[in-house]
Amino acid sequence: MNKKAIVFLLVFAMVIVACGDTTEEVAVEATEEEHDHEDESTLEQVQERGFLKCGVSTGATGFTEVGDDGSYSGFDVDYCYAVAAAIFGDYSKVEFKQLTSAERFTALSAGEIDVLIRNTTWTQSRDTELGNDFGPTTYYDGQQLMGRVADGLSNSSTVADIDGLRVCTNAGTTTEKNITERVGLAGGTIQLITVEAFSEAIDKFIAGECDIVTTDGSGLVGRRAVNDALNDWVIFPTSPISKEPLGPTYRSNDSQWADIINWTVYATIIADEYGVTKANVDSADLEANPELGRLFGANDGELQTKMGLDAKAYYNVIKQVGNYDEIFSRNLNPLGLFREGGDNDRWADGGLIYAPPAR
Amino acid sequence: MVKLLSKIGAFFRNVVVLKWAVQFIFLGGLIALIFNYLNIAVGNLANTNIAFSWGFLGETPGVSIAEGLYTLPKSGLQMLQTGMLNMLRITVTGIVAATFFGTILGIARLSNNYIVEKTATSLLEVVRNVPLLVQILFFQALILSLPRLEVYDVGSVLFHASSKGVALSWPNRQDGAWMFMLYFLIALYISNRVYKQRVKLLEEQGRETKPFLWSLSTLVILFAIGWYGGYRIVGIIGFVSGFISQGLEVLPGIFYQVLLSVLAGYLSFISVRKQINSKRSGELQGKYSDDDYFKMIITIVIAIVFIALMFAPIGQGIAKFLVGDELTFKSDWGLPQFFSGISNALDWSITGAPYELNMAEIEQVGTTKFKKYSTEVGKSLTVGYFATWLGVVIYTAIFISEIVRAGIMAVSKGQSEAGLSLGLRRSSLLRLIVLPQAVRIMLPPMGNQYLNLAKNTSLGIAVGFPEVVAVGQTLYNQEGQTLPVFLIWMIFFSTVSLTLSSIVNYYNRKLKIVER
Repeated sequence: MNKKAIVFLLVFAMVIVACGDTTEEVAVEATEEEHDHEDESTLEQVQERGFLKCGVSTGATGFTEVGDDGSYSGFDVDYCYAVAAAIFGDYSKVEFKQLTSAERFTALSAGEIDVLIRNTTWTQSRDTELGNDFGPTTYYDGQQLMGRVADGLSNSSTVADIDGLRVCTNAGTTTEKNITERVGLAGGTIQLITVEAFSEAIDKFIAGECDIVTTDGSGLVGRRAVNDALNDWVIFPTSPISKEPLGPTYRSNDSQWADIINWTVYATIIADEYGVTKANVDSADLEANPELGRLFGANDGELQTKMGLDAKAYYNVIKQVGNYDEIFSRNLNPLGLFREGGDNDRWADGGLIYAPPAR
Repeated sequence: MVKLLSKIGAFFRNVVVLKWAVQFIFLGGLIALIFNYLNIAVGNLANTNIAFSWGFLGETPGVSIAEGLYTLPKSGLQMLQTGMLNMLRITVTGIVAATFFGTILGIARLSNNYIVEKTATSLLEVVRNVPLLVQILFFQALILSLPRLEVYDVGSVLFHASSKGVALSWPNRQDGAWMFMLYFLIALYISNRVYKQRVKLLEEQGRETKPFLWSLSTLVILFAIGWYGGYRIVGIIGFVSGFISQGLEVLPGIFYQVLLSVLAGYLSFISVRKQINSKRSGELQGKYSDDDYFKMIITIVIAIVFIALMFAPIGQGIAKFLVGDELTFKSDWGLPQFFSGISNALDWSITGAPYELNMAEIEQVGTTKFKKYSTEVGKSLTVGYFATWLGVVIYTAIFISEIVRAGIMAVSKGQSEAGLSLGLRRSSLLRLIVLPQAVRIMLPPMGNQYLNLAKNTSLGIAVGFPEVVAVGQTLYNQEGQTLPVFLIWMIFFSTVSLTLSSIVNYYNRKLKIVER
């Protein structure tokens, strides 16, 4: 009896010791592997993997839409395609990951995605506290409110008119903060209901649980178009209550990766300035326009190869995805959002869309 | 040399040594593993430029919350408090309601009436086999499908439901409500004492003393006195609390650090002494097994670590919290604030009825055409609250009904037959013989259901109810501190669950068969 107990204890001890050892070894290996991984730049990781992992919205009309056949389209999606075209010369090498606004930054910092292009507003706290960096703004948006005409609201309604009302919005966004701040400044109080996805907020608005729904103006316009309520729903106030510069977001401390994303966006803007489109990019006069020549890799494309890309990287972007104007018109014009005279017009025409020179 | 080797060999073959070695290797391995993972986590966070910090608890999050204590929280801590209270609101009322409905359903399942039994069974099968999340979303959809609040709805109503939620008549708390509640608890205690006293008299003298009637009339009389102003007597407690609060305000943080350290030392001392005492007499006198030594050493080590922590930054943080340092977390959870809160709530000068029955009110909002349920009078429930509450209550009630049924059926038939043969009435039989035994069987699984209910409240996030998980998620989205919020969630849910289970365990011990 006693011997049996001793043998059992010995075996048990060995098992424990063995287990302890292996788990620790595994843990150490895992950390080492992780460190190896961390030493690799994002570009190397992406090239090794063979496709880009792009974080997009779970559904924002005009920005991220998923078709019946599972294909992705939209303004943000096109910029994912553009980055893939710049890296691989093939725009289709993208794996999309749909993220709610609450998940997006965690997904980015955990390395689940390489770049986040998900109508994300550039703010100081997100830039500094969350370990992100922001690329150039692709769409200048602003937060607005939407209510019913039947409830006595009109274009000229203001934030002061919503005192005491129930407002719906989605969680984890800047909109929660903006509306709280603005209503507070106007001396009112609201009951703010936050839900996971904006579509839920719209559902609650339609059912009447919420009197008002609020998010970026582009999102409201899109929703109004989808629900075919152009005359029933009204978007106010005319000048948005906040600045919402939307653009790509990536992890900080990887300037090579940042350059690639930034210049992909700038390339689409520069191409637009020269009027180079998907259709006429092959016939563009690179001799007469040396800037375009440098961007499209005419003379050995030194600037692109230094970034770790193919010399023809930005040529591929325009050839396969199109310039800024094309991306904008294709996705947003059907919703009733136009560039002319707005913030998203070319800088030469009084807008804010501007790119540094390529040289 | 050989001798030495064989000695060493003998040492390692010794069972006592082996046992100890295994225990320490296991403990060491566990601690190393935890530290390793913590290091990895902190390192990875540092790599992504997110510094681990608790500072967000004091910063103004700048968002508003739909309902609860602070709809415009001034600090992260207040925001989490609001979420926690919302969660507790559902948990406490939900447990009462689920127990009530569950008992009724359980009895219905045992009914001889065909329709009653089948209705209860089919309800059980539907609810039990559908995920809770689906049910909560269903209740939300149900409410949202109701018509909107319109102009002609404005006015006072007994009950109203629309896509904005549910409103019902309600006895609203007045200034004296807290005092009255405390007074009522004291009255309950007194009437309980009266009951016991009368039972004792009955047992001693053998005459009919009507204990139930006596205690009930005591309660009714005390209630009547209390309702018409008698509750003000508990103002004495508020008066004393005021003094305690003033006294605590002058105490420095180091006092609490020392106090908690002494407490930890004392508790470990008691625990060790208890273990030594248990071996003082009888067969096992003075014979300590390795396990006993191990337990004692661990108790002492834990106490030392705790005391060391008390004087580390974390201990200073706790002390600051107890001092009620306004600047640290902008909180009013410190001990002086706690007691001054009591003295404010239990104020001698408060008068008037403690509760006032009000109709629900539907009112116009501002100058617009919008309507809402008044939050001042009556009771208004938001869609999120309603859907979450109904979801968890019905879901838990179904499981409780099975426990009730099982408990009653588990009491052997011989017990009822014996009672009947003694000439007990059916009601007395149930009260004196069947139920006490059934409850004893029911209590442990009931406790599990209560825990489930408490944890399931976090599904409120799906319908926009601002409970602690939803609120915490908003908070870490604004401030970027995911890990600390997760820690707070874990601590909070553990505290709630452990409190619930210790309450259940207390009653379980009380009802246990006393073995001799």
